[in-house]
Amino acid sequence: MPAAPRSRPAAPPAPHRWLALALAIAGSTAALSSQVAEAAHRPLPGLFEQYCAECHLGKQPDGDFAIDVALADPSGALAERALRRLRSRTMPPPEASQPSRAERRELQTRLAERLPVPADAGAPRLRRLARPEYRQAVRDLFGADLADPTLLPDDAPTYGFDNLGDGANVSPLVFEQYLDAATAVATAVVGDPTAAAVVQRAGTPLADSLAMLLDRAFRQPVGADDLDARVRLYHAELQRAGRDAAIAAVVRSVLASPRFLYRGEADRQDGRLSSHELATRLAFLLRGSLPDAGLHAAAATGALHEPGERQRQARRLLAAGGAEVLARRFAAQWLGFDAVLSHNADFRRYPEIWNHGLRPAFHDQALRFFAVIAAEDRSVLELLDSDWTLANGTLRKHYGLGDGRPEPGPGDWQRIALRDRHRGGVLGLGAMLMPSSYPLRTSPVLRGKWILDRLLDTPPPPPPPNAGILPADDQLGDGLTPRQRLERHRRDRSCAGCHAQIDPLGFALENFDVLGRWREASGGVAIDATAELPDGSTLAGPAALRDALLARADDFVRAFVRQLLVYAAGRPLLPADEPELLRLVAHVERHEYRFSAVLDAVVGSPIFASRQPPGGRAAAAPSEAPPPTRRGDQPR
Amino acid sequence: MTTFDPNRRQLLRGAGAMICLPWLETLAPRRAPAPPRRLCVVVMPNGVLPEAWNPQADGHGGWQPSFALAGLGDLAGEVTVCRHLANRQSFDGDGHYAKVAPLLTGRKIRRTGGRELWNGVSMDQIAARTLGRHTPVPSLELACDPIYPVEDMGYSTLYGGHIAWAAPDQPLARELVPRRAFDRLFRSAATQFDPARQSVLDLVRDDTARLRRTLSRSDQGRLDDFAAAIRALELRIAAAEQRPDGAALAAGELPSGIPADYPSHVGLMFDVIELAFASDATRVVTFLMANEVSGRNFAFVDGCAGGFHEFSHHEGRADKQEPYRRINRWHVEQFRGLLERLARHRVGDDRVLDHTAVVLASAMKDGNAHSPHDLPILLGGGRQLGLSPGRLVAAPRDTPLCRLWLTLLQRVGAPVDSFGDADRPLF
Repeated sequence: MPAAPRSRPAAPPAPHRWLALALAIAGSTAALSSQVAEAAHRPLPGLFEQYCAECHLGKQPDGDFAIDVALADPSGALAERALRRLRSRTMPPPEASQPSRAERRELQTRLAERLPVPADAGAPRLRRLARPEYRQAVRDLFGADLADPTLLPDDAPTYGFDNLGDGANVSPLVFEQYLDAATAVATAVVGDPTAAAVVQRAGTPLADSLAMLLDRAFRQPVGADDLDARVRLYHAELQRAGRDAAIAAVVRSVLASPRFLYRGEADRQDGRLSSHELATRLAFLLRGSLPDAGLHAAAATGALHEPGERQRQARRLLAAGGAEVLARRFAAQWLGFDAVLSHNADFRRYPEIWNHGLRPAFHDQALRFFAVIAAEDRSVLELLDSDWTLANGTLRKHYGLGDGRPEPGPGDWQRIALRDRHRGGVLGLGAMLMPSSYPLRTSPVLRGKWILDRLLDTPPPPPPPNAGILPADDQLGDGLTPRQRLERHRRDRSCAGCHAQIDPLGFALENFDVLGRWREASGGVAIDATAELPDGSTLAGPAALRDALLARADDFVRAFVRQLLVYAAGRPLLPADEPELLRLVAHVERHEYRFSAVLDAVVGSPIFASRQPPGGRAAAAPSEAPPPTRRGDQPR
Repeated sequence: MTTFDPNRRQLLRGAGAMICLPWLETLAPRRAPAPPRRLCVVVMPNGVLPEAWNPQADGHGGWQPSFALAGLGDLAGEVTVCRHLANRQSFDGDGHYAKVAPLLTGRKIRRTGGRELWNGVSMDQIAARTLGRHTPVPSLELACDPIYPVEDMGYSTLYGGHIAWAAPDQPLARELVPRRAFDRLFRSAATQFDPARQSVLDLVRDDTARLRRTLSRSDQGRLDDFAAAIRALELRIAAAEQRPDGAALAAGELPSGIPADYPSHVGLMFDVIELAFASDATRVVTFLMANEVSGRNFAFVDGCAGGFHEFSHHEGRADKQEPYRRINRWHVEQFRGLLERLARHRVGDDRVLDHTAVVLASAMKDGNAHSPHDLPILLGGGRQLGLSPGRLVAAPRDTPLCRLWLTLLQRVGAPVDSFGDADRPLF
């Protein structure tokens, strides 16, 4: 993949300015001391004197942190640091005398008063590359699959996705794993002449070659001083140990850098994203990796600020493999398809789970099904109901979709026109039906909950604390079918409210067994796939269930768009986002529910193009942690 | 019960001895130091069947084995059973996650799908502040299951997979692969001679500062953690240089990935704990045997084919209670294996076990009711820490669990006089 056209930024600021900035960044109170020297001479509130001053006062305070400067720092950054240490009980240190509860509250209040309203409440948190993203990024950079994802830290999934920033904190172990992984890739790069030539391109000056690498890896043009530092590292290592060592050191310094590992988005007052940040969001959405040359070029012109240009780029990427990326990265997480790979049925009762890689085939089928809808710009309602599905030899046999031809190998995928309404849409997929079963029986509750959670975005409320206990009734022994037992359960009024919504949806799928095969009977008893909905209407079998879901197409599209926005923008959606979300749903409806309409809606939306939720910063504060208010005047 | 390759086992035994001897004989200062005190907390998911767990008093301050506790076999005398402890902060949280995350913190966690995670600092991390100063790795966090992107009852799955919390918003990453945990303790690419490393780290540190400048306040906090992690690595490298050459240890026989069968995985993790303690590579370990709500198929235990979590919701039915209690006993048997490992190594006249507080706990009692009362807690070892193993400690109903944690913290030498909702130790 060619690198983006060069556009070196103007000369960097003079060295002394960098120095001043670097000091300020380091969060060192020394750097602030001139600003706040005056304030620092005022007397300290007594409790700080008592608990902090022994170590954190004077010219050379411990940890380069002076409490008087912290209390006077107008940015509030140092006060926040102190507050975090205080709340996490890391300060005062355990050996020192501890403030009483009331004193601690007083200390915290004094510090909290120093904090500004959090400028980024509701904004996405710093996102770390998920394992598959890291691997793909390395493949993009060096042209070969050189990263071993098992060396990387666990992903920290939040809000249903592996690459949101909320849980992605760093501990020493995490950083070590990144450094180890970077070292392993560097070794592999050195051993692969084509990959090594990416670092030092033949016939290209070293600085230019490294600039191309850094621009791509860090997703924006890097400054001359960044470049110089890498050039110096290269030369130092070249001199010490030769070319291989030089290349390896540079690769390590890139891949262990937070500028590669994190998708940093600058904090701007209006929440706007830069065009390179927009390019990065588009790239990770549709490439699962770094921006390609086309996105770099579009970012350089600033065109990505236009919704139309984002939509044009999105469609370009969708055609260039984006459909598969969305299936593998987004749909697999939204609809939970990956679970089938590790899900177990009891192999004594269901020995078929070992047949010809059944579970990988289920997984593959689900991803292909989604990708076809995306790539062919079909109606997204086909996820609910379709008159076709995809199957390889293994699945045609398993599902009973064979047409009499000799059984082909597991790689032979075909599109199958369905004669009945058993198999269409995601509800006919083994990747949905198997993980929503227990090892020895199906679970109408899990299947019903899956539909409410994933397809309709109306998760049932959690069961009350004593849920799970059926009344100790000996008639609940083995003589009853699961259905009868559940109906019994629903007679309990504390359970009925929710299960009346959940269970009928699952009962409608009872014709599918633990492995997703069609069945007419279970244990000699005919399957009864009929159930009554709370409104009194009945739902008989999967066809009726699909009709019922199609009647709620709005809810489904809202769920789809919402999840795609969460994934793309990297933040949970707030109540204030709802009007925009409904506007997007209407857009999709106007465009016959085409997949492209969903994509256009998402990448064209201000939710995608901004870090800031609607209604401004204060409106977005999380409800459980009211932002501390900043007192305007000096309390002392 | 478990199937170990005898060669590998011997190798690990040998490795332990190799690390142990140089420390004891050549590196130990002439004046015999106080033997290291250690803490190990093992957590099992999905609760236990109370009738199968609860032991009877034996009339002499001890206890008589129940069905599950019979799994301790001849080591019953090394174990104190604690009754009626509870974490009151978990009473009103729904589901499993709200119970396991605060098990070692004694705090109430914030209900969130991911934003603003909030818990407390876990007791192992409090212990590590004192004990971790003396070892290359301040504490080791082990687990068996990766974390899948699901949300349960509004709680992020991160809560269900983390028991060790360095700060209220900072669950600690866990090692899942025994081989990599071993490398981290003893060899580690990170501590080998690596002349380019410092230059690379310097550059990464510069990048951290550069990126940090542009970010929002909370994102800057992330990068502060990143910078702290770089520093922690440098400290660990410096400490490793003072220690015997871990690279001399052949760990080549350890599998490089996650072992395919669960009993082997658990056994290898216990091997790692044994080695870590025997060689004083760390003094604080937490091990989450499986993430909460684990539906693992226990077909490898006779009569237990089916999902663990489903069995735990036994609905009072014998056909589900039987596999549930067998799975409970299996966990106790594994715990016995850990005690046995720690009893093999000696410090002077004592066994490592005698200087180690080893806990087996679950965050709920009856899995069917998600009961937070009378948690199943076993306390093994610690004879030389004054823990007097072999007792039945029957506390009043809903005694704060944190009182036990406070006891253990004090016995391993942490200078604390309160923890969570406990202002006095249990004993």
